[in-house]
Amino acid sequence: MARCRGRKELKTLDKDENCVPTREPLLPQEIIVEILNWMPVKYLLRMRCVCKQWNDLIQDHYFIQKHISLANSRHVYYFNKWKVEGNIDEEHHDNYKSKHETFQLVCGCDGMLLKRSNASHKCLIHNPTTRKILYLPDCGHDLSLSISFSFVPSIGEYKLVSIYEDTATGNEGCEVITVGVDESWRPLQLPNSHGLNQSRRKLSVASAGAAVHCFRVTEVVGEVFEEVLSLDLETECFTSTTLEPGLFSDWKKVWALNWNGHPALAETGREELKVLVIEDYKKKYKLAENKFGVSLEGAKKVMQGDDFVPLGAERGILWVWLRDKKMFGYDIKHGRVSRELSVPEGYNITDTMYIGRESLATLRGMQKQPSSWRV
Amino acid sequence: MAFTKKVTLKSSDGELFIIDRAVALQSRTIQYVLEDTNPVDAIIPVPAVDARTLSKVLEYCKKHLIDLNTDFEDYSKWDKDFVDAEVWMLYDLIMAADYLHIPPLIDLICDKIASMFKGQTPDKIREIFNIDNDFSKEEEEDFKKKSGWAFK
Repeated sequence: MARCRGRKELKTLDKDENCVPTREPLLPQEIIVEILNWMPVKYLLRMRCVCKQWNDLIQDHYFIQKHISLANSRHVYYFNKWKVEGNIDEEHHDNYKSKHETFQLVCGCDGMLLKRSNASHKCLIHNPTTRKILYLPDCGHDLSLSISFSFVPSIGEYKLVSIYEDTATGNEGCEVITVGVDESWRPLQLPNSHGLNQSRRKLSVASAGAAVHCFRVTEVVGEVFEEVLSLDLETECFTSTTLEPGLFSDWKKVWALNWNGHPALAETGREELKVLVIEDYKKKYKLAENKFGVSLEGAKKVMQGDDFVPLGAERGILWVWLRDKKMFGYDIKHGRVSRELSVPEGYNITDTMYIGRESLATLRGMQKQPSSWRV
Repeated sequence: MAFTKKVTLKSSDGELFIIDRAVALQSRTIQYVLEDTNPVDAIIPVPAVDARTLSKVLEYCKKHLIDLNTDFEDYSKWDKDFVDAEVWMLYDLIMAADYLHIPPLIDLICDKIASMFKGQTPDKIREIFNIDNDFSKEEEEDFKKKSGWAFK
């Protein structure tokens, strides 16, 4: 039987007399999957009830990852206390409150947020779009220095890496957990090349390219050492590289960040940002060769002075945090501010924030968020 | 003699398209044919695509080849106009882009079709894609009960 694919039917969806509808899909399954990949998350959640095949597909890990990689979903920004969505004209509280519990944002990844209960200090991962949560096992220390949340494509799992102050040794300690898999946090040995007499001056951490990178500055009897420690999230092995002295003029203004998927270091200045992209951290790298400047001329009006923190670059947009005041996205190529996020009067952006996109990302063991949570 | 090498494509309805080899190479399907057989002056049949659709696809391939210096913003404007077409044309284009294997064109059209359908109800979507609802009444009710918020 000839396939019914009359133009009129496609255009108007009329089941007219000349065209007996056959129940054959108009487009092959693989193309429907491609189309669904471009749909917004909220709509996909609704489309799960179209048929069993779609329901399975929308919960499939490969589909979810492809959907995240296309990054066609809308941006969401989360701050402690405040969340600003979409085109920055909509603002919401992000203190998900049950009757008894409030949470602080710690960090985020692929549209999921790591939050800590203010009362019990228990941590959980929350996908506010799918409204699912997963409580994490307790870690034996305070999340004092840094925690990063990353997807590891080679193993298809999410990992959390926590770097904390080890009160016993005075150095940094490190723990990792494969989310939804491990029942407890696992300790990792952080390289400490300078022995016990060192004191930490700075630690800036960024996750990029399935690895966590720490820019660490230590002082050993009056001498300052700058290094990058990179933790491969698949093998969980560290690589450390000591930076050539004089590479940066002032380590206080240097930050680790994700530069379009690559780890990078950036030094803030009044006129420009000096960026060093680390193409392959496992190879011995000469940073000076990769150093380039990003002029911030077009952002002069928005920022005053050089007290800002570069958060990272994604698809040509550099995200910048002006301490306590606002965040903005800077279009590097066109040299202009493309997005501006102001914090409502009377509020500050506190210690953490997350810029991400809504996603279907899910973890083993995730459950529905309690119905008492206010949305 | 023209410097650039030409390739001839033949649509399902027999029309011939003589184009630059570089334009044709944007289709991975044609690229494989050219690599495998290296036909000199031969005609490459494209049996799954009619002339009207093929000319539209080639229009895209030419635009995305010639103007390498085009600004990203100009491209997105051009692309937007390109997919501003009737649904049936988009369906034909997506089938052709899939057959000819031109990933950026597939993405462009999928994004467009997705944006056209994203306001529709599940019922309407079933109708558009000709899909049978294989959920029982109970299962469907359960869906609405469990994730009713997604429907608001």
